[in-house]
Amino acid sequence: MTTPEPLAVLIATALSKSFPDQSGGLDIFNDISIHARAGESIAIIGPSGAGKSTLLSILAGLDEPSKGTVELLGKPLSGLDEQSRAELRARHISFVFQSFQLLPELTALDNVQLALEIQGHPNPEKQASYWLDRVGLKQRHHHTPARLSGGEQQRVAIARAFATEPSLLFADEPTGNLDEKTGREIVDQLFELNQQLNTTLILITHDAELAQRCQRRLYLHDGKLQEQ
Amino acid sequence: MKSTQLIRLALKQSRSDLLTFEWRALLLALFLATSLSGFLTLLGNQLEKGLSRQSATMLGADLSLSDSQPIDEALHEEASKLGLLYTNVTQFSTMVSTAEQMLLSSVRAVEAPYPLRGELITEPPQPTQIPVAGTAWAEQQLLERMGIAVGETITLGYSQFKITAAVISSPDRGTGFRSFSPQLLINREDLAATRVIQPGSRIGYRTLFSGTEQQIKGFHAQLRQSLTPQQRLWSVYADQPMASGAMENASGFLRMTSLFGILLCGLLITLSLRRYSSAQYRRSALLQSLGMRPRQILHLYLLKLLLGWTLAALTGIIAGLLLLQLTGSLLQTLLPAGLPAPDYRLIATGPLLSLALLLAIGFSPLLQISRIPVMGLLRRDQLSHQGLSWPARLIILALTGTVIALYLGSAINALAAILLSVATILLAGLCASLLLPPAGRLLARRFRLGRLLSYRIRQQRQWHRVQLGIMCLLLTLLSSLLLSQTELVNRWRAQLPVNTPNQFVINIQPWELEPLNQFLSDSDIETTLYPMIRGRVMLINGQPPERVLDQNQLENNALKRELNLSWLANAPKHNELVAGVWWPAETQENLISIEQDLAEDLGLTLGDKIGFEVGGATFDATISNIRKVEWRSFRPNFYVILSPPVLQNYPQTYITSFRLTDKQAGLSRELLKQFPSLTLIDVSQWIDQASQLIERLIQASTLILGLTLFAGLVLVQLLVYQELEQRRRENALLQILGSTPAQTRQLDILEFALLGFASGIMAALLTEIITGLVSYRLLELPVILHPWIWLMLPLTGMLLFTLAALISHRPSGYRQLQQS
Ligand SMILES: Nc1ncnc2c1ncn2[C@@H]1O[C@H](COP(=O)(O)OP(=O)(O)OP(=O)(O)O)[C@@H](O)[C@H]1O
Ligand SMILES: [Mg+2]
Repeated sequence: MTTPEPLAVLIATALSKSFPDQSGGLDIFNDISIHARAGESIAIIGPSGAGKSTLLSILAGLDEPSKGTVELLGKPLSGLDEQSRAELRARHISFVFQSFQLLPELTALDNVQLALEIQGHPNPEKQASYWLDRVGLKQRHHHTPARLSGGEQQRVAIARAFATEPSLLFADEPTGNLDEKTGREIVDQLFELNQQLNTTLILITHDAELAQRCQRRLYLHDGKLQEQ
Repeated sequence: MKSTQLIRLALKQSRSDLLTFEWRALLLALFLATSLSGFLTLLGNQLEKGLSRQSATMLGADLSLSDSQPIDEALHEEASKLGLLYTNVTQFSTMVSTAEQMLLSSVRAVEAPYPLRGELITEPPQPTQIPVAGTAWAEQQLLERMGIAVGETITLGYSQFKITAAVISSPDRGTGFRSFSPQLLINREDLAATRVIQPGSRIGYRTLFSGTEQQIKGFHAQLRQSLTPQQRLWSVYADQPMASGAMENASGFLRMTSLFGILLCGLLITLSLRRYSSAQYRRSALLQSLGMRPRQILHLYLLKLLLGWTLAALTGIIAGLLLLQLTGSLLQTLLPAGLPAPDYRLIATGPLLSLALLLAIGFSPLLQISRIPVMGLLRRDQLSHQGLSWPARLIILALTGTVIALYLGSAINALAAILLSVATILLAGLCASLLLPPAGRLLARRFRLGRLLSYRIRQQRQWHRVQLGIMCLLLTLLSSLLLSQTELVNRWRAQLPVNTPNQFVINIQPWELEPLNQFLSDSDIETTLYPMIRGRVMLINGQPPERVLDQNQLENNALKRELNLSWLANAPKHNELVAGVWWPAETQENLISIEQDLAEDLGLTLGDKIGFEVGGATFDATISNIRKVEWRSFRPNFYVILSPPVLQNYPQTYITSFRLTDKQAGLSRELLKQFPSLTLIDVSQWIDQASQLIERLIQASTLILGLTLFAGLVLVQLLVYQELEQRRRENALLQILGSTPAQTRQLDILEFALLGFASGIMAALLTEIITGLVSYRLLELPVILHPWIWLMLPLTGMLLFTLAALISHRPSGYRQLQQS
């Protein structure tokens, strides 16, 4: 709120990606650019196999583009070493997945705490506890994922994602494994937090209704990205 | 689906299975189980044939009668009358010398015809059956160790012999320790001239007989009636074990060593099959959706298992035979007579054992594969592995136990061995796992992902314990064997006091006493000569032993053979009196000084009377004191010493021992030159021969251990691989949460290094206990600790686990998180 003009959180310019293949190379996409401002919510839609997840992993610095540059919070990723990129993720980026991705051996609290510990948070336990309460799992701190429903597991994942107070949150089909009602509740929570914390939300979805709730929709198709 | 199609499908799938780690691990386990068990069965058969049951070619006859006295001529006449062929052999240990070298060897003086059965093979081949008078044939080993060749001359007692041939193989090498020394064959006509045989010398006499089976059996039965306690009888038709307890134990020891390996193979088969089958569920569901019936799927997988087994069995048999060759050459030098060819049909034990293990363990996972519901294709949770029911597990355990019991030939041993191994694995694993949490906490503070390490340690308890237990046992086996091989034997030698005599001289005749004493004192050798007379215990307090002793006491060796008796005016300085007093030097009474253990075993005490028989005469004497004897002192020691009046007038020889330093080595040659009929025994050579036997056995078991270790490493690799595969997803997540790939790899490696460390510590502890027990109980040495194994074993454990982890490590990334 201190700056009148919303800041650019993510700038990707002229991204291309191809995977090495027996027949030369498998081109996934070509010359894609994205510009995301703080607090914005963006849906990436497109047919299966279009390269949505691949794009996401490049934007998050987990994979290298074949061509093009990604700039996160003003820093070009290509100029950073492995360590600094990992630190950047720990501080500013979070993920929510279709299949929750909690560590099965850890309790809900431990799962959230782990992310904070990796980030180097000064008070991980208190923060984790606060966020679990905030997503409505007050009674479930010490339950392992096996004892939680799908929706509850996804809430833990959301608590984990927001507890580190990221600037950017990627969600890869966050409702894919949930029934309609639970899915809607999860999405409500995502948007609520996105508003409250001014976190940029980039989510991949096949769900048209969910895509409609985002401020912008980008359609990835035949290796091209189109604003709809 | 027709069966030919099924076979074609199985063949095609088998080829692609070969690329998977779990299938390779399975084949390897089958291969190892086949080769180990096949090899050991053959070796056991070989040892048994070679040592427990004499074949005619080993005996050199159909029947062999041995005695410590010359064999009665009357027997020979009787044999002739019955139409049996016979020949006499005299065998004794003595030093053979050249100008430069001396060697303790076993001399056989033989007469033609010899041998009666089997063949004496010489190089170059000789026209006569036995050496011509004045010549000798020597075993290759003797020639090698003395550094001479055929054609050179050696000295034996007062005579010289020209070596005219090398003995390549020979029957009738004699039994017991004698048979381990390199041998020399001479003509009996030359024996007297050597003058090595004197009254009281330790000589083995034997007569070999041959004839038809009926004649031999009849004569055998007849001889057995009149057998004296010194006599031993061996027949090719009787199934009696020869005095080869050590070798029988050896074979048992090797089998036990291999047992752990086979158990490991069983475990490896179990785990690899489990992994393999869970990877096959989807394929099975797919085949069913395409219309294959569960029964056909079962057949398909059975076929694949059999194909795999065939491959493993064939290679396993070859490896087993190679191993047999290898141990054969190891033991060859030890048993110059060589080992007889085993019954090669027994190699089938190997493949049969692995097949039995495979079917016992493998059938139920296969059944599970074939019963996977087609629904599994639609809903993943239907594909998950259903644990075996307890009855099924028990059946598998029982079947596996039976297989191993059959292999070991004893259900009790098998049960004991399995329980012991499993208990050790569990216990060692449990104890070692107690080390993990504190070590993890310690590390947690230093590393960014340290806390996760603690989580993992807590969460993976069960798996960690199994891994730790197996690794720990592997390391323990390895280090105990290495230690016993090097250290124990050396320590046993080294603990002999510095001035322990290393030369024994026996067969000293009374008339040589004066000049010999002179020779020794001229050479600055201080020693005492003890008279020695052989005699038997006949009466105890006036009664035959059978009347006054219990069965256990009657088994005492002192009652079953002739004892070496001595007489002395003064107490031997190196024995300590524990009861009674030594007699005055000029006593006229018949008194006994008896050794403590013998007195205890026979329940004798001061004042008891013992009746002896010496050279046909009998006398009584009273126990007047009890002595403690340090048998390992390598000084002449006697169970029974009598007062001078009792024995001094019997024919006797003298015995002594002394120490020669390396510098004085020439002295023994000089001694033999002046007193050629003395028997000089170089104890260090004797110890060398004894420890050689132990070392060879340990080498053979190291070979087996090597294979076991290999099975263990593959198992560890399988476990590590399995774990790391699960960790890939976790590592991907950690990277998403902000760790670098290097950090997650570090975490994995730390975890495994920690496992290696803990198992190493535990193995070091176990090794100390085992070697401690062996040195304390078996060798009666003080227990010492080995600081370096506490360093080496944890390091080795860490190295092995870390290597396994590095080999199996695969990078993880975002893709691991897209699938559940
Ligand atoms: N590491 C890789 N190596 C080779 N090909 C890859 C790799 N990662 C992804 N691909 C290929 O890239 C294409 C895009 O994959 P991606 O997972 O990004 O698709 P998606 O749009 O997320 O699909 P979905 O909606 O099904 O999740 C696919 O054809 C995939 O097989
Ligand atoms: Mg995707």
